[in-house]
Amino acid sequence: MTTTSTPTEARATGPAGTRRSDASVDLRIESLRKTYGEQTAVDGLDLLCEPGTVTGFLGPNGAGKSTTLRILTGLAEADSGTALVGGMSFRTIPQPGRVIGVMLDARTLHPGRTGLETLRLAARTCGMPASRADEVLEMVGLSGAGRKRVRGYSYGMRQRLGIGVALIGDPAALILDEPANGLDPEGIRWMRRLLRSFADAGGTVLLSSHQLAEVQATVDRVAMIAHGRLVAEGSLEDVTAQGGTRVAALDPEALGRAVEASGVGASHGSDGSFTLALEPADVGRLALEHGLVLTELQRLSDGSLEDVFFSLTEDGQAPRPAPATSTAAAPTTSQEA
Amino acid sequence: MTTASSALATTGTSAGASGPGTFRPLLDLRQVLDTLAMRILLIVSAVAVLGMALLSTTLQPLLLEDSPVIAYGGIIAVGLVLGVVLPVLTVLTVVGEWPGAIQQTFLQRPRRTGVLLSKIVAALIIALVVTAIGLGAALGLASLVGGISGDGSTFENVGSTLRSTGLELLLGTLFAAACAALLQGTALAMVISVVLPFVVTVATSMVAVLGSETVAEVMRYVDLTSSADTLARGDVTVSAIGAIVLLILIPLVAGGVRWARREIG
Repeated sequence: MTTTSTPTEARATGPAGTRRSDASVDLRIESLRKTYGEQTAVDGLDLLCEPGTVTGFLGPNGAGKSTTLRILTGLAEADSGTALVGGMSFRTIPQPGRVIGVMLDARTLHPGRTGLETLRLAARTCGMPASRADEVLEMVGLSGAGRKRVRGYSYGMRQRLGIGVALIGDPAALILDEPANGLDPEGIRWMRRLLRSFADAGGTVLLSSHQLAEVQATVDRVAMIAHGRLVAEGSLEDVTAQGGTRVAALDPEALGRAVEASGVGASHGSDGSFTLALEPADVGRLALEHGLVLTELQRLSDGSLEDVFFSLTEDGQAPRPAPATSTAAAPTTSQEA
Repeated sequence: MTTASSALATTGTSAGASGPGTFRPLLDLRQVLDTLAMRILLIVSAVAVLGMALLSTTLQPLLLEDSPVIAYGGIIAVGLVLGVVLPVLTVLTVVGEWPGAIQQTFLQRPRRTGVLLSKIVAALIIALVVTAIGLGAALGLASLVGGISGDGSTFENVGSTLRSTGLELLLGTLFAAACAALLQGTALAMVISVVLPFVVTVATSMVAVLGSETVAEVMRYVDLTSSADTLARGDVTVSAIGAIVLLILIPLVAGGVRWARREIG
């Protein structure tokens, strides 16, 4: 592999005759719902990714991330709600590759084609010149492996090629599912710079990942889901600052009613405890308001995304929906309570 | 930058001016011909078709002394090989990307019905070229071998044989495309599109020989070979059209619906 570069310059100028539209593209999901039989995969999800931002889309396995991304990219249909790319459903965009680059699963790249031909076909599909393939091949650091068939690529090389396919049409938005998988540390750093420069040039990025430390180093906004519902959304600083507080009471049912009444994003543990998207002091006020005797009150976050993630998603029962803007929504309890 | 769906649509439209939309058979042709599997299959197919053309013409002077080489014999022999080769090539062209790589295609060309039609047209182009090469080779070799053997060649019945064989191959190719669209998997679609027409034709012949004309007539409603023969003679019968409707049109429409709705990934 050769030295990699970021796409900022290429995006700013674009190859001759292929400058992409100046229209920025937001990704907007509203009241999205999808069920498979009895199982609800996505349950009333709302999400907005704006131009100039990198949004980390987080959640445990089975939380509904992949289903959401498949609906957003036209690979699956929602039962209700909308998922729009720049105000249009993906399937109605005349040339989607020129508007939004998508990399959901690099293993779906055809193994019998060379890397260069994969990119040339992608370029031709979205009306870009063939020279764009060479340009992108170099951009993703695969210029030395362009004539090798994809079946001979390592997982990391496939990831790079998949990102290259996403970038081929010089799009205004990117959707990437686990892009750091298989990348070595240098590759991860390259990807981080790539996404940052893409967003800095006005692009919109939605990034799904399990690598929380990597996400924390890359994104500026976070959307966290569990059981198909949004449990936290906001700027990285807001979400990590809020973390979560685990609370248990002598009367778990009364605690449940109090949590229900508060309207705060929360998850219910199998041991009767709750994890709330509140500061411990606010949880204490809530308990005081409802006359509860607490048996546990513990701040779960030390400011890392990982702590917030586990505090909001690890428990067994479905969390209740969080306020639309962020987990940082202050409780409605009196300051003096 | 401005956020506007109208601007987005304009972007797509202007891009579409330099590169057409979803229906792009030449792109699909390039996509399928550029894979290692298809290249190997084409080489094997060429060897099989040309080998049969050579065999069917060179064997005639050895088996039938002092007789001219019968050109339509070569056409029939090559047609038998093409009857296996074309469905396999068609299935690979239409659904060779399923279930994995089709995701990449749909992400770039999300209007799925157009993609299906485009791939079917690409498959028909491949079938046409392979058929032309195979049948052309059979006719050319018949002439060549007849000249070398000194007994000459006869081209009697070539026109009618070409019509019936060509129509049979066309229907076989469309049947394979319908199977591919409906089943969306290469292995099963290949097996069914190769084996079913052969089994039905044999069964229809056996039933006719055994004396049950009623059952034989019913069988003709699912016999594409019989349908092709009938239409090639210029007869348009209910059973001939019925076979096309039952084995090609209905599976193709059902496959198109499934193709458009199936979740990917």
